Amino acid sequence: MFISFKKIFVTVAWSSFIISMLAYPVYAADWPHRTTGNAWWCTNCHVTHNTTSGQFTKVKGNSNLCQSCHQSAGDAADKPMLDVHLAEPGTQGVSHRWDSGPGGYVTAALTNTSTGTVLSGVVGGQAGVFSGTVPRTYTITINSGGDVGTATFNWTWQDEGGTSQSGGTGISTGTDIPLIGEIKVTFVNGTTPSFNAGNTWTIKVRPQINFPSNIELAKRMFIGDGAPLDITDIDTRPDYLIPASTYGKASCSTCHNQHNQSNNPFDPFSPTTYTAGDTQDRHFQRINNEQNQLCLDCHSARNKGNDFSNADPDDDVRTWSGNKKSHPVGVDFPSTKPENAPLFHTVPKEPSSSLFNPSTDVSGKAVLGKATVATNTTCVTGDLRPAVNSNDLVGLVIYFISGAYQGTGMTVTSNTSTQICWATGNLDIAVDDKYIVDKDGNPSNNFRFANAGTVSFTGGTVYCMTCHGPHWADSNELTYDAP
Amino acid sequence: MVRNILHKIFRYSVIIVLGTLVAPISLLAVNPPTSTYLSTISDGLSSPTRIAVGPDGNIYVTDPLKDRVLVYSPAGRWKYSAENFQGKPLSIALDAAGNIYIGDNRTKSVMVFDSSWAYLRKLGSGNGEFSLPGDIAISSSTGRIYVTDSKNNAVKIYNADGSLYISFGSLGAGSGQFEFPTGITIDDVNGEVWVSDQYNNRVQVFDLDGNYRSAIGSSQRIQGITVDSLGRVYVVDSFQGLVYVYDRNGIQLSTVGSWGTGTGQLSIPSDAVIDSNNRLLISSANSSAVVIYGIDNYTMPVDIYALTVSKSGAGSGTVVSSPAGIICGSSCGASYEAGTSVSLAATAAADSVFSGWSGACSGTGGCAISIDGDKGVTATFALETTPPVLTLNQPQPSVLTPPNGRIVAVAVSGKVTDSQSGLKTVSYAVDDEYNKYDSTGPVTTNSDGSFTFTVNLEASRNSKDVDGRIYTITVTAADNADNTSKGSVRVAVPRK
Repeated sequence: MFISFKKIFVTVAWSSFIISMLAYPVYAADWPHRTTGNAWWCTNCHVTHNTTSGQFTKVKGNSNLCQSCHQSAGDAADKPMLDVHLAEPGTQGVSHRWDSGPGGYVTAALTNTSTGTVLSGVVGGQAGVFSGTVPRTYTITINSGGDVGTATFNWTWQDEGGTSQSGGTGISTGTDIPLIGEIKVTFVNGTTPSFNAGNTWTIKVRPQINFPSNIELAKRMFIGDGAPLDITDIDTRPDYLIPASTYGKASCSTCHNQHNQSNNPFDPFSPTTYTAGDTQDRHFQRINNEQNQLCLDCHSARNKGNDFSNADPDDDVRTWSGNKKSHPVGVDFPSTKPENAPLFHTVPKEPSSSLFNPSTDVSGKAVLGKATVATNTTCVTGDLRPAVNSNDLVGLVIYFISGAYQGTGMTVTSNTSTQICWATGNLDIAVDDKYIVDKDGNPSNNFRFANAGTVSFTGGTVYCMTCHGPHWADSNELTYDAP
Repeated sequence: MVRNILHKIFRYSVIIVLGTLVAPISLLAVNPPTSTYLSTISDGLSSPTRIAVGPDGNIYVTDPLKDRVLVYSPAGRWKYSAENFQGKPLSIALDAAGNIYIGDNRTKSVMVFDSSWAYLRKLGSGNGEFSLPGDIAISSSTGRIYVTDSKNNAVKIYNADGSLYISFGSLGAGSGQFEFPTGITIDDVNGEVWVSDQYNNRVQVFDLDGNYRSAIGSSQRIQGITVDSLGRVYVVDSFQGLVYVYDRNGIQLSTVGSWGTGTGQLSIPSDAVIDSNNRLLISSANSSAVVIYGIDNYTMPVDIYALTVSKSGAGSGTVVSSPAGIICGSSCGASYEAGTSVSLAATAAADSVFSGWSGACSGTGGCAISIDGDKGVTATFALETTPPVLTLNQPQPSVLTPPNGRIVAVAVSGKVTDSQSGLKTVSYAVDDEYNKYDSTGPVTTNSDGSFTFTVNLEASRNSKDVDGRIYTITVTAADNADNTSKGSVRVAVPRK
């Protein structure tokens, strides 16, 4: 039998290739944005031709793609991310907005009948020029109906806590129409007549938000229904040119890289190492954020130090005397109480502290867990972070921080690394109920600090997430601009 | 050998003949549905996810982000919100008896309530029975309950008593396997179960016992699914924000809706059901709405509301409606379509007076009610106690002189009115001091209540009657409530 050497070579080559691919699979996305099945093809989300939106997604609206899974009946049902979550701090919502930017966000009145749309942007490209200290709302009202150019509008503006101010009346609709505070509006035609008299839109603007300087963030600022900004001179990074007509809004993928978990997360409970294709819970960040790099790119005005003397007006902290500036961030948590820092907590009793008493204080800070078994007993089952030994937690209190028993506390009578029990009182625990055991009883230790590792928080740096949660945070309660 | 050949020829001939007969049937084309945007329900909704229609036509919508189920009338009027779950209601279905099945994503169970929301049981072993109870469907022929356990890649079938019947499916792409099954619907006419198999981009069809029959291709991120009376399959695409319509062979017929947040548009739609009015109800989670389309020859349900009249007070009377329906009296309640304007008129009984309206109307005038919900109105009738108002003028003449015995015609005039129950009788009585000319008689009144009547009196007296002869003429007026008023005038024959 004659065997072709060429055939052997080709067979061996292909076999080697296939075996190598099986042994070292290359994934287009990290967990959990791929599944164990075979259906996660690129074409699930992307089309190669005739796309109706930016980045080759099939449907306009970057957030829409994410939300199609991050909904109550979707694969990411436990992390729903719907528009009702969008926060209007002090009023409603539980999440950082994904439809806003330096130009704010536009909301059409529910009673509107117009088919046209209104976009808001900022004048001059590089944003952050609205330097007010409180949120501002602009109201656009169609004065006489028609299409763009024919329809006219009136507008007013109002700072939070202030009174409504007249802006202008009878102004022709068009493109890049400046309002005060460097905000501008553009009217986009719908179906003739696009704009009906009496219809209103509000533009809500937060102060001091910058257009991101990081190119990875900037080029994922979107316009209108999902087209990305046309960032020019992209190769001259970081001196790229933002379009003069800036209507960019952040979206999910501005801050998140849906394919990759490699960038350093803000979350000290996240895995510290990254393995392509497998690592979870690193929050799919677009850029590193362990030092709040991601947050502060847009919110740089909030990057204040702790200059209590107020000597430097650009570095003074928020006080309650009316300056309405920022709580200090990027400040190292001190090893001793600063003389001029009355607002700081005393030094926490961490193991490295001289105040730490090994006989009474359990090492570490708080133990977090999430129920993995639905029960109706006096125990909750779920892996703990960080890990503990048997009976480490006896005598402490387990608090449920989500689910039906949120706020309920039970005194621990026994524990293992996966189970915490109490004496009496059955609780109908559901899967994914979250709980916490505060080991040292010092609430200041429950804040997250950068550079603090996953267990000890001593000496960490105050950063945004020390106090803020980007998603599923509580922003429904009214906030007050006073102590 | 020959026999085998003949046998094969016969067998294939049969197949060809049967195929020739059956093929046209299977290829019978079903028309694409004509869809017409009708309306949107948004009242109280946050993230509407799954929808069910009860046997009474009411619309049930789960709202997991608010941990509640909202219930609407067939026409879309908010009726109430069921919130006492201590859970996260995700999926929902109702059986023919009106029992409500809730798939709860907190306890990972399916809870069963009766039509009054009294808890009955949980399916199977209770909490933790499911990883994600994605959707529920109930077979009207067997009464069994079908639940997609999305993250377990299975469909679980339960008997009506809640016990597990069978479970089928596993992770994979083979026939009968799933990768994240989401929506489920039952086609009882054909004895089929249709399941959205999301990550396999297909819809699979099973018999009622979970035996695989076929599959049709679909788009990605499919969720809810329903089948209409013509066998057309409606599959919700959460990603693309529309509903695909396929025939039973998987041929795409049309789409319903489009991505967006404008009128009739869909943003993260999650479910679709067809009600008995041939309307397609689609939950649009991201726009906090249920969007309703009419399919082909749909009908529009109209809300019917009850109008109830009550009567109070010691009096009595009748309330009559226009349009007809209430004659209260005997019939004090009626039902009207939403938007109807109903006028009520109150008529007091003879001994009563209408005091006024309370409830849906007020005042003492007319009562006009626009029907936009169940309404009640009370008409109060009081007993009439106000007597007629009577005034009498000086008789003409009031003095009869000289006392020469002649008969004199004396005119008595006055006025009597009764603004409430109205006059019943007016009469007079003459009281002669000498009892000779006593008389009585009716008094006729004019339209304004004025009256004049004449009595003949004798101009004479006894010689020893030092104070003269006195005639007392009394007028008595009675109203319809038998309240009376009296007035008297005197005519004298003086001694001089």
